[in-house]
Amino acid sequence: MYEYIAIFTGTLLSLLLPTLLDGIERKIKARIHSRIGPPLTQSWYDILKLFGKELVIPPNSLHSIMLTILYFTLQLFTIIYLVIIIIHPLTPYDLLILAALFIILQTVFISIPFTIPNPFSVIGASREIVLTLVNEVFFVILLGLYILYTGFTSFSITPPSLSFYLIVVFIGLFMNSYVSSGRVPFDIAEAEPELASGLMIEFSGPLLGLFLLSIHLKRFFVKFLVSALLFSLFVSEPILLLTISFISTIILWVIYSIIAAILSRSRVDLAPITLLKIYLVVTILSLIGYVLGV
Amino acid sequence: MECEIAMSDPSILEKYKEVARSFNGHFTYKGDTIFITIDKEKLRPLSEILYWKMDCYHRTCAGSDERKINGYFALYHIFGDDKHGLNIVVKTYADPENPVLPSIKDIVPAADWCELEAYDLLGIKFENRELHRLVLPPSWPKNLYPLRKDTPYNYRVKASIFGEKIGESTEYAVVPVGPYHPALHEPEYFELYVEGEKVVDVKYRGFHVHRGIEKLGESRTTYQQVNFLAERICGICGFEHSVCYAQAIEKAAGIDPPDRAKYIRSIVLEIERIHSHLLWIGVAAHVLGYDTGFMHTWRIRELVMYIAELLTGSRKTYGINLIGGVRKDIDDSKKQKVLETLDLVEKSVKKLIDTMTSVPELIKRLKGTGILPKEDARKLSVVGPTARGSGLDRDIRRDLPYAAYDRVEFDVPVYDDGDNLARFLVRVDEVFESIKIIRQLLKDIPKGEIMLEEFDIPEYKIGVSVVEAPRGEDVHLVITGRGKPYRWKVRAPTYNNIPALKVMLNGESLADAPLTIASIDPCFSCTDRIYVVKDGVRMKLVIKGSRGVSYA
Repeated sequence: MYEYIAIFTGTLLSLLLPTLLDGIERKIKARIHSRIGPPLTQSWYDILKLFGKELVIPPNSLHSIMLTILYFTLQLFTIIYLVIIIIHPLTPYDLLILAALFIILQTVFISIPFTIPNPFSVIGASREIVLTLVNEVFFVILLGLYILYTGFTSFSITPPSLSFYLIVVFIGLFMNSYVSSGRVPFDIAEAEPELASGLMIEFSGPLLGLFLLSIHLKRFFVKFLVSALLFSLFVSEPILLLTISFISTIILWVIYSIIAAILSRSRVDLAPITLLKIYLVVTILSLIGYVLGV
Repeated sequence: MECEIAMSDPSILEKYKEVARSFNGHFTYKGDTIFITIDKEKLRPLSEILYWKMDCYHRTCAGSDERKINGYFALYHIFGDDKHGLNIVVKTYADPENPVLPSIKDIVPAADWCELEAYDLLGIKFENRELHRLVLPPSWPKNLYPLRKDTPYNYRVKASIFGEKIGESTEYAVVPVGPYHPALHEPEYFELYVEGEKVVDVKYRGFHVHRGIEKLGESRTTYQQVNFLAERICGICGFEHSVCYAQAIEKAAGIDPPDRAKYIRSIVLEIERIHSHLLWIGVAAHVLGYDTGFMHTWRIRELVMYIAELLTGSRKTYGINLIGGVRKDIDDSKKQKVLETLDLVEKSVKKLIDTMTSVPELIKRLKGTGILPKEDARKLSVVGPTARGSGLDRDIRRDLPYAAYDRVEFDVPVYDDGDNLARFLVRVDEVFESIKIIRQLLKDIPKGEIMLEEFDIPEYKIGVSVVEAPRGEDVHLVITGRGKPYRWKVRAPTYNNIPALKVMLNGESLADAPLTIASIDPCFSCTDRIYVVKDGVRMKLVIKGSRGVSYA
């Protein structure tokens, strides 16, 4: 019974929290800017208002609507799936299924702007591909290392205790979650002053609302997943793990907001190379640690 | 005539006289301006000597319909010998029935736009060059030239305005930047041709907001009213235009405003420079995605706006400048408040710049991008921080001092790299130099009147004034008329800097294009010379079909 309540509460929070956390991020940024900023619920007001507006379909872009709906639905499903498998593991390979879902999600995300015949949208999409090629490939590599080291493919398995090589893997995974969240300096696909919002340039009204909601969910998911993986090393009780992962996600969101406020945007030729170098160092360090057994 | 300005090399006048004589030209000088009148056949060789051998810059050129005065059209090429503190005005006459003059664009690339403008607005044709519309829209009737004296200022053409189709390229992707784009805060249009993320070519279409302000100044207003009109050319550096216009009239009429007025003008001019540069630094931070820098720069800028309001009564568009002086004095209590606020501004800007330059991505994006080599900067006669960032050591405040700039000491920051970082650093340094200048001016401001009570403005005298605005030099040429200017030509700094963007953007990353465009601190309204068409009448945009639009 408690499991069902936990799943229901977890699912509800996973849907409501991301947009609220976006409001908190805006407030934090505003305080760093010496501004008062909008109310915490502003992001929800924005989404609701966008849904109240007329639906404008970008010219020759019918596919983009289908893909955006697919992206939102898949994102929603992925988060709910994560909540469920923390409380009640479904298969021995839940983590692998989740990773596969995330890769599919990213593919759909990249595909959306390519279906819109607007140069800014296409440039935004090509930038996202370059970044994704580095970031998501290393997401798979780091997750693979984590599974290799721990044998952890489902939340039903008890992982080993934390070691140096696992700490290094988690540093990489947290970085990965920051980049996946599309914040400064890695918001090159959107890059508002350069590309006039890039991949979302043609979106407005409910379509933009849906897209933004999906982005909020994605930002939540990438932090939530890494938090759940980290705390699964210490906590075996599912409901407690879920609760701690939620709290960790909120704290991470605040930390990421502060980091984003003090950095400036990178460039498409700088960001992937910098990331690649860091990920390579992280991967090699972790492998050396594993081989040496530290 | 006596030369009023102490030149570094008095023999230079003889050299110019000799050059004028060698082309059978008529030579005169007044103050810091040399006037040479020559036959049109001699214009090209003389321009070559002035631009390349005498190392003069080309400030602008201005066509003028002088058929009522002498029966001809005239073209004034204004060169600047900054090293010797001189303006050189070369006048050529053109036939009233078929005004054709030789183009100097191939010799002086900086003359490209002003020749097109003379063709567009006055119908002066130029040989050996391609002529096309620059200012007027494509649908403007042929053979109707708004700056000709027989075209009434209130003449309204019945023309539909059609959207111009963007270029099509099968080789490269076309990325439109403008007319409305987050990186541009005014309507102008850049067409970037890109290969991957690399810009390979740029086309520019501007003057969307040209409203014939010069025609208004020549037709509907009086001498003093034009001061207020000039101030409305720009929402950031309007006071520079007002001072530049007033000084042009004062030069033409031999009016010497009171010293105190000159000090007040200089103080307000420097206030404008500080708030303009802070505005730009904020915008640059925003373009680079560093919104924290943007917000804090503008927060500090508010202190400067407070000083502007304290001294003039307005945050912007002060309305204190007139021919013969200023309308608002500075008392001791204001002086003290200004000095205290400036201390705070200086401290805050230092802290801000230290923080900004510690953001690694910001410096990486500024350094080595948007490079304008010194040779190209010289060839195109770019001005202001754009020139100084490319190693050209030129600043009108020092080279042709006006107002009270000959009474203060300041440094002119020059950086050789020619990149976006160099232009950024020039502006940062200039903020501190401006604070230094204001402190000196406030300390030494003389007592006395702030406005001349009486003066005469004789007809058909010419005055050229150059003022160092935050973006570079403003140039105003005025030919006096009866109660109002006969001819008033305005050239904003962006006019000379935009053509340099082609060099700066070529081979650049698309990501750096908005930053590079912003790095010249473009002011399109200045360039276009904007003004409200008619008070109280709202313009309604009517969409016609799929592409055409018209105003009703």
